[in-house]
Amino acid sequence: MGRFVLRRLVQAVPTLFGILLLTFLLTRLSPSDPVALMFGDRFNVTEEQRQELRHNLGLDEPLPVQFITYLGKVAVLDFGNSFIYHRPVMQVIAERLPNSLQLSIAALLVGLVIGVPLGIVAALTRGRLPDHVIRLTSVVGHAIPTFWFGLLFVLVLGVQLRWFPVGSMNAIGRESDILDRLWHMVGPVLTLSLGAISNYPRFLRTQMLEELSQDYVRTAHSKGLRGRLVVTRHVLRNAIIPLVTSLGGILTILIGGAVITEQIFNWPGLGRLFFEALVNKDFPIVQANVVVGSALLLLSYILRDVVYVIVDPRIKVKA
Amino acid sequence: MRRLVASITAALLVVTACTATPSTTPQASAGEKPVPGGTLVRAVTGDPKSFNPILVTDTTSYRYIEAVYQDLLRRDPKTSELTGRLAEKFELSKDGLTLTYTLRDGLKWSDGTPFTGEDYKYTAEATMRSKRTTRQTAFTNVLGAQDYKDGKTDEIKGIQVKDGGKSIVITFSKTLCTAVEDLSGAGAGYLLPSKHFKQYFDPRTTDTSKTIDDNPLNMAPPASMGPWVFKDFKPGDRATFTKNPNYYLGAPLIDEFIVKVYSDAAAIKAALLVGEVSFAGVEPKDWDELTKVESLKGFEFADFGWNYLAWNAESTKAPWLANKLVRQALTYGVNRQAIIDKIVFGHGKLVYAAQPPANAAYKDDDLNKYPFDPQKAKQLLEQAGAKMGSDGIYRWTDGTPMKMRIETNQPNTVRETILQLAQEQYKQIGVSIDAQLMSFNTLLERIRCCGKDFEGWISGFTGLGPDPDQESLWHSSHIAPNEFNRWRYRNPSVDRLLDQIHSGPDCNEATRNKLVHDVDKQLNEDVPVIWLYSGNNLIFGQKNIQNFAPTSVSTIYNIEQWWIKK
Repeated sequence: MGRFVLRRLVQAVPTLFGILLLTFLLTRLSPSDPVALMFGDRFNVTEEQRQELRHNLGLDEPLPVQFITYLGKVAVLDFGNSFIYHRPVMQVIAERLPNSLQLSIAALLVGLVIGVPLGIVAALTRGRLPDHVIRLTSVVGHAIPTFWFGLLFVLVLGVQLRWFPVGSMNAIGRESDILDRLWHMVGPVLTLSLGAISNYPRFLRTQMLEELSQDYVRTAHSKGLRGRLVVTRHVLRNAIIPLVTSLGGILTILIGGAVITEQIFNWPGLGRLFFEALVNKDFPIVQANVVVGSALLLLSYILRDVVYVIVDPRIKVKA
Repeated sequence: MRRLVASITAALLVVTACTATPSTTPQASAGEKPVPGGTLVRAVTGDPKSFNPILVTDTTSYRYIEAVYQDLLRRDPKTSELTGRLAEKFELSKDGLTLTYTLRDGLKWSDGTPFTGEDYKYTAEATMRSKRTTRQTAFTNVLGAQDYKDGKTDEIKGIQVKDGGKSIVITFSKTLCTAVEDLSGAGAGYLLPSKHFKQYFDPRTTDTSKTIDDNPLNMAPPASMGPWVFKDFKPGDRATFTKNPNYYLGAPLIDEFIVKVYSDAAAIKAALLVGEVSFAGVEPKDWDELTKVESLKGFEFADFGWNYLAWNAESTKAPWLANKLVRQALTYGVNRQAIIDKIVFGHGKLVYAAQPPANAAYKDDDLNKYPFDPQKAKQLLEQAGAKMGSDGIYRWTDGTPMKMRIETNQPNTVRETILQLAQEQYKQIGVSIDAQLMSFNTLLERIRCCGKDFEGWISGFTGLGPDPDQESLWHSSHIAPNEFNRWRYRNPSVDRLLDQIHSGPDCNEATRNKLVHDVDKQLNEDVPVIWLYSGNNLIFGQKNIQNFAPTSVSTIYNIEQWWIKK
């Protein structure tokens, strides 16, 4: 198992190098000039001042030199200073990370805790009322766009009825109040997990029904195993595999932040940071986002393969 | 299913029908006794890039910085006249080469340290040695500033602190009429507490590698001259300030001031509606809806800027743009009133020349208003020598069809819509427009002086006042790369007038304003650009905030007197 993981990690290195090269070239070759951007539409800026700034930012060196400097820095997670914030990129990201993690972890848990049981219930009550209700809500939930659900939540439950806050992480003056934080999380977490709540039951139901009709289930029943044990120990374990696949990019989902939800609920997370960096052509932050995001995605896939080995007895590791 | 649809529809109806929540709002009658305490929340749409004014130029950052730092002079919020803030008075010598600021008595930073001319000199020197600033232009004529920057001296010789720190004397190599205002913030715009910053950057050195650019105080102001004292900053969320007991106009009545970040105008609107935000700027499209809300009060005033459709007078593809009659025709040919009515919902003013309506020097009674008149436009085109072609497009004197590009940046719904409108209306006067959209940076690169391969573009300027000096926009000496006479406007008589406005010798306001209007009259005739409109600033505040009365000059000038009526 250890060698399997190691091999996958080594295989990831060329991929990562390719990503580094590509992101570097794309940002440097894009037509926007960060120096022009930093000066904006200001009066009286001389060409000399521009050159000076370009030099200070290292933008006047040949591309290969810039790339090698860049690689050395990325190795120690130094993405330089943000053009806009004038502070180290990793510091800016680290400030926002906990905010995004709160939302994404809560949304993942809510998705699983509601979605998985609903899927099991739907499969076990196939063709009866609970199944119909779950399938219907699943389809409706799936059809609602996240941004529309979020906006409606803010407008109806926030502005109109005042049952929930209209956004932000805390009410003013209640920053360390955990209940207040949870209260503010309801909207964004529901919005974020809407997809999971409506998708997991559909996945799981189909897969469970397929497994329930398998021979090994009949065998288990006929050897006198209790119905509940058959479901949890045998059927669910096999039915959960597609779910593991769908959780493939889990780390990126958890850490990447949620642009739209954070935007609507005014949540100061990474999604908004990256979105604003993109709009402002803040290359160092955009680069860090793409590089760290790709690294995490690669890592997630390795992790997923490991989880496959654990949950699916049919998959064997070739040492 | 049908019920679900019905209830969602019902919910939507509720939302659109009455977003205003009625409430009885207390209004103070005059002379009522103010009640201290409470918290003020100002909404913005972004983090400060830095709290160090030397390093920033964006208005969002100033929303934070103006809470803690101040400069020597200010514009009167009502008359926009230049008057004292931390300086009690200022005096420019007859020859315009010596400027003296005299500080008020007893000025103290929030930590009790006296405020002196040394803080001023420190800020000026830190600005000159910064490698990341774009704010050194104010020192162009200050004696010794360049030598200090180059490391030839260890102080700026032309800035002397006298009378035990009470006066600041600045010597210039050349007169500059805007010097009094430009230097009141030591170039940076706001003055820094030298005592604290000195531990990271000591200006008494010739080593130019040492700068103020990287130090923790840039994100955490250590002392304050403004109404508020910095408490903490949570990136992406808010900055919190407490009241400054040493503020020179008296400590604020309200205890706490928060500048809070919202993701966009929609989020700010929602937060205003539920009372989470005390005051904020809003978009024109939300004005009507918000004015119906009982708990809110709206303010509308002119902005120091305008939006324009400019022409490249030296374009190779459109030689007709060098002709004044053609530019006049193009001005008659676009319905600017329609832009104000339909695109900014009436929250703007027509502009006929370079001074924005908010400026004291603005005067329009003797300017040509160029009302929308397609017939007159065609007539002027023919007068200029154009002949109508069989396809409904005019031919220029050399026989080429009058086709050209107009470029603008996206995403920007307002400018994109104006471009569509101009395209349609110019077609009616026989001029064909090819509309081009691009990112703002690409647009800036495209229109950089002195390329010949572009014809027209739509953009805007803010911050054109209150001082009326626009030498850098219209003087022919500024037809150079990266400078702002991008339209290549050349008029020797205007150049002469601009020189006098910019460098005197008579910097008297009345004299200058007269010259400014002479420039406006000539620009109004030459129309190097079409001044489309000047958009209004729209600000809403909760009605229970007393003494809240923003003007075009400042929103928070009297914030120490605000109080919240329960």
